[in-house]
Amino acid sequence: MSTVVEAKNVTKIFKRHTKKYFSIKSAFIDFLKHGRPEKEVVKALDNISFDVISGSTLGIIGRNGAGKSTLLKIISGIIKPTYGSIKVKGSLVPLLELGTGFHPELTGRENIIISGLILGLSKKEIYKKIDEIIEFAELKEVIDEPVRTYSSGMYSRLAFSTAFSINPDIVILDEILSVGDIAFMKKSKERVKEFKRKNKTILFVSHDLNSIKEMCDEAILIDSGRLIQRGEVNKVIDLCSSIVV
Amino acid sequence: MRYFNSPFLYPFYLLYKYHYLIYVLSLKELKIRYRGSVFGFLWSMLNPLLNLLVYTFLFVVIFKNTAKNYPVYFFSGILPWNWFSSSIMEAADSVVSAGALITKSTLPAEIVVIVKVVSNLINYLLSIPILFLFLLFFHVEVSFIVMLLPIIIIIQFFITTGIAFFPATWNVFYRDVKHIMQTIMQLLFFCIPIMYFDSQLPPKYEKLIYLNPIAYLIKCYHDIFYNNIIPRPELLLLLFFISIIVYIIGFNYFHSKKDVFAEYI
Repeated sequence: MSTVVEAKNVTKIFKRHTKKYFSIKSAFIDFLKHGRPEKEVVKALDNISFDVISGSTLGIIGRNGAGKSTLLKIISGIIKPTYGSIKVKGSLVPLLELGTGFHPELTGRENIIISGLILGLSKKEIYKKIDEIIEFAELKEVIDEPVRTYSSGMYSRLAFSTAFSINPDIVILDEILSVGDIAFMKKSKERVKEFKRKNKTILFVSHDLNSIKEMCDEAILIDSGRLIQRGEVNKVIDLCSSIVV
Repeated sequence: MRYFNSPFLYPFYLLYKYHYLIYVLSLKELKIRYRGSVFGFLWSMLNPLLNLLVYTFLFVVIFKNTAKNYPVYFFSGILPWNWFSSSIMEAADSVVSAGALITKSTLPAEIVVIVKVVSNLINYLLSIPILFLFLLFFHVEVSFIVMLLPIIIIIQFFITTGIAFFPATWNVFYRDVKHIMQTIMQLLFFCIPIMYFDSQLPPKYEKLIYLNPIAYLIKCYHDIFYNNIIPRPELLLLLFFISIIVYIIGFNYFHSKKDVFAEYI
């Protein structure tokens, strides 16, 4: 049992200009009038420390805007913490959104290839797995049609199957399990459980507390950027409900 | 593996590591550009052909330009220029318009810039057969010198990508950059002998203009397609080194700023 994700005193401060400039002209005029612009400081994450043991599934819960997504982005390395550090051992793939890199004009097959490459699969792996991906998405008949002709359910199924063809040590799931019809949802939950059986580490964010209960070994509760509690799933969920209500 | 992370090698290692993704994304750009059109990729050839016909008519028939094979001169220069300027202008907007690719995936952001240069390179490569058609039509002598083309293309690829990293970075912080690029490109276009011959310039400007590496690059294209002479090897070598250095500097500049991209998009 080794620690694969270690967050130490992670703090993220967003400096929001009280006025947001997206042009040099307005920034310049304001600079002449008022001098250096004042910055509003937003603490998105406040001194968060925790670790994740290899092979475990950690649920992360909290209200909208509590800082969950910021935390996931920092763990993924997409944004850097202002203070503190993150250590990740092993390969990590964040699934923060389904269908990153998808384009409606391309066919399902082309989108699988592009999306798979973006997720870090090699050319060889993609071509080996593509039939399996199509099979899982149940889209054999329409796979060579442009994705814009798909229904939203078909689109999500395609995106989900592509995303779950990856094979990293650690995977981050941000609210992407509620996809497709009930049968497909069941299938996709089964996929996540398969990840668990393969002893992969999973960080799991969801507002659906039932799937948190079903999937996770442990959970942490985040509110206003602070880690409120870490512990056994049911306890954390109870505390979460009392905060939300 | 440690060597590959050095600022000198990583820019090239990334090209190698992601070459297939870059290729696939570049083709995607072209596919989307020509989506729904009957001729599809053929437009990459048809566009220059139609342009060629219009300009030939304009310069030869209307203006009676007496320069020998003027259309060939013009086109051997304007095609690589178009590759250069479209790449820079599209790259300026590339990071901002990539959206979720930057904010929600761990893909190195450099790739979206490189893809713009490569997709325009493919576009340029598709127009080369049309250029050869014109060379035949105007009975321009073509010799083995044309074999130098790949070298010149490689030089142009690195110098263009290196430069493209700067507006791509700046545009994240100030969205004005992409608008001003068009004017800058226009200015640069007139500073380079593409529409005119360098011999038409006053002598004191003739030297000055070749301080611009892009001007010399275009001259190389003129040399191999129009003048049928070998570009001076020492200058070609110098140009190659400049392109590599520009690429490394541009890449590392972009790399040093990219940590905050996800917060600005």
